[in-house]
Amino acid sequence: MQLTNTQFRYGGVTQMLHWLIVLLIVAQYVLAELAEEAGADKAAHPAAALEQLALLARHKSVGLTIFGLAILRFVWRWISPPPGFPIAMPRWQIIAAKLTHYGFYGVLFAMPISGLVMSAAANYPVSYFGWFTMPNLVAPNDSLKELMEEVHETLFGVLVVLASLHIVAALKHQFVDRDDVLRRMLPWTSR
Amino acid sequence: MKALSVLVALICCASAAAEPNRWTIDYGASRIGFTAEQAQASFEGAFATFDAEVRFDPEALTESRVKVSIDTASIATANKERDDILKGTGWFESDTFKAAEFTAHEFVRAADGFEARGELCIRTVTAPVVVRFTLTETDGRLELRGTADLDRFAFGLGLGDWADTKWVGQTVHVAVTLIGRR
Repeated sequence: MQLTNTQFRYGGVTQMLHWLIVLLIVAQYVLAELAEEAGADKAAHPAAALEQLALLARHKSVGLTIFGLAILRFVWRWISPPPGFPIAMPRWQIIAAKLTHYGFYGVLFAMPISGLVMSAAANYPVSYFGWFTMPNLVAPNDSLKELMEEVHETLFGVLVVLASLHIVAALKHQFVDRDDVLRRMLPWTSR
Repeated sequence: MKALSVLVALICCASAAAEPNRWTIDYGASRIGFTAEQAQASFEGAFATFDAEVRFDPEALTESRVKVSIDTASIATANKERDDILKGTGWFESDTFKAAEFTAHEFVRAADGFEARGELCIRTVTAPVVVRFTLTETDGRLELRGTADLDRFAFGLGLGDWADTKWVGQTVHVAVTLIGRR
């Protein structure tokens, strides 16, 4: 498999980053939901508080991983530009696609940053899988913590909207336009 | 007989006179802080309210003594949820046990200052604690800076649900600054 992107196809590096980030976002959602359940349970069961702590620690570490991968992918775009849009694609669709793609980058950067600020504001420093501790971005601050929590949740909503658009568009390209836009991001198909 | 009682009285007075004066503590400038570990990252906290009876004089180590009473409900880690847990069941249980108390009678000179060998009582558990400290005096202003590493299990803190040291560190590093005058 070719590692760099070509004019017609995404290379191995971009494909790996794309699908790894998808996988980790799903894991993030599951961890966040489990942590929320444990959080709701902890008044009745003190053990749930420790479980919530452990789940959130994982959530933060996975989030930092996604942050790192998103930065890599953004840098890689400049080193190895993505394939162009199909010639038949209308201008408005190209604009929509670009907006969605840059929107993804925006969310993938803003979500971990808002999470880091939230943790620092709550005086819950973040360890990356027990390997190293992130510096606190801000001093403890209750109202900032609340604000960042809202921002983090809102960004997740934006991410869901973007992902829905992205998936619907990919399927439309595959089954309506019958072009290779989806296939070129799939590792097991060749041109 | 009379001579003996005079002698006894003299000895008593002599030892009483030798007891170092109680420092007047500047609580605004003094601090009992700590660093603990949670989810593999360290955070800082402090006890906002405490009462320190410090009778320490480097020239009278044998007669020196210290007693610090810490209001456990004044624990502050800049996170209300964590503070409430620490004040609650399995931890300081501040509703029942208002104060934790440190007392020291034994002081020795160490390489870089002094060592106070004392006892700390949290709830109903008393365990020995060694505080290493330095003392500096400038124009009568005394500055005592001490540190101690405490094993939370030695005081039965956070047993049961919170016992997993991967998520809640076992060692708590305490840093004390006492500012006062004789």
